[in-house]
Amino acid sequence: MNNPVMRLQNFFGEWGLSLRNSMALVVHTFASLLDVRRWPVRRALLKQLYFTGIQSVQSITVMAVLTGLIMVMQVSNLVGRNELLTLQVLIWSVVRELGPLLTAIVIVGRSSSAIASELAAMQVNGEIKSLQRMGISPISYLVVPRMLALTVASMALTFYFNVIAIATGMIVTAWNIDVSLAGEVDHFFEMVSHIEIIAALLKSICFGVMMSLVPCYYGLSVKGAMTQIPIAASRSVMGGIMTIFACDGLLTVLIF
Amino acid sequence: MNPVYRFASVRSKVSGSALSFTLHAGELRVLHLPEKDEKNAIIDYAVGEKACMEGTVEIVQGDRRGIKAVVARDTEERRVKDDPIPLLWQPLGNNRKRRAAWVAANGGMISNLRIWENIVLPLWYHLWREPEEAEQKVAQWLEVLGLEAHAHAKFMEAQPYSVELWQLKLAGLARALVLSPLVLVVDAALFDNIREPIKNRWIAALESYASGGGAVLVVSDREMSLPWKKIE
Repeated sequence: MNNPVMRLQNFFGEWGLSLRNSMALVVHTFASLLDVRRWPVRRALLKQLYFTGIQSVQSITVMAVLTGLIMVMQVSNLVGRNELLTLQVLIWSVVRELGPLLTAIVIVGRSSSAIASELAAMQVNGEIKSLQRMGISPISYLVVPRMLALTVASMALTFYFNVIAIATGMIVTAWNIDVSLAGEVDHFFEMVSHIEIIAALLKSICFGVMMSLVPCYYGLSVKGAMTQIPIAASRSVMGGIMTIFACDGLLTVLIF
Repeated sequence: MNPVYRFASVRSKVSGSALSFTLHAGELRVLHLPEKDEKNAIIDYAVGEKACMEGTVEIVQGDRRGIKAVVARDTEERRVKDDPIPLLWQPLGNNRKRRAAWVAANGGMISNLRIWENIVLPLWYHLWREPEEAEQKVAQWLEVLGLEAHAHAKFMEAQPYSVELWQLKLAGLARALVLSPLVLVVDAALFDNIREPIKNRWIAALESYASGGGAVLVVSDREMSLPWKKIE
């Protein structure tokens, strides 16, 4: 066998096949990004944005409020009535890590499993085949709008999470140790740096791409049997979470 | 008559025998195959979803008003033979896109789209048409295919799971016809389990479509009473 790709594939076995196919999916998805100009793809994008972005706001709000509250209470217990240190810890943990990570976990739990189940059901019912016979690329019509929607939603929801969590933290600190809220806001703008904002943005973009492509891969890989639909959903959630943590680790090491 | 569509020594994985025939503009022909798997394989080749294992499928390029004798060769086969990545992850070939349309046996609807969205999906996707442009054309074809005018609005808004089988088939047929392709590839099981008057209307609609300069290939896997000549 002369083909080096095939030799490599044989060497790595099943794992190699999955890696090769997932790489092909990534390449083909990015190559099809311009298909978003097509009307049906734009329409699918808007549907996904509504489902992943707008309908997640409630869950993200609850999670952000509780995160801000818990963080401030725990840090206050540790450092006492030190308003500046409390705020510093809040910014570091929320903007750098918890904001992007918790938002991604909500999206994985809510949207990634739904995407994997939907695509797996379409595969089992022969709808993917129908699309292909109509000359419509499943990657362009199904994967591209989901990837764009989850990436945009991830960025917007991460920003929203950070604002709500930090605002809650400030309000609780102000109430708890009796300091001025306006002063805390001033301190916040002095403490937060560009690097933190860029890191949060970069993480949310990477997470968005990961948590859309993983369920698309598992959903579209299903062959034939109905019983594979829940398996695809479960694999996509676990795969999505693992990928996000791996990506988070890598970005943290590279940036900070 | 101008040749529109040519199968040259096409051999599928399922069958050992090679298939060669030519369809001319205005022709309707039935291709009878012994097995369902082979029928599916040949439909895949015919609409360009898969490349032939052996042989070529050619479509004469041109529009329905003046067909030019320019042959578009099937270029996908080399790509598939050399590259074992599943077709799903690969870009679709351009050869038969928009020029060969497929009519499924059971409609081939996408379950999360309404009937209207299903009918215009390939039209929007391939021809970049806005929905308003397609509306009149779809309405005309639905009338020709036997959908009564008063049922039109309700039918269009319905989800695929909420309509009857013959309506799914009708939507699938309308979806292919509104594309005005050069070649219409029809799964013969489309004519199963539908009332005789509806079947006759659809047969008449396909004949009127072919008379406009297209060709129709009906692929079956069993003997059926259809009024068109068989490909021997």
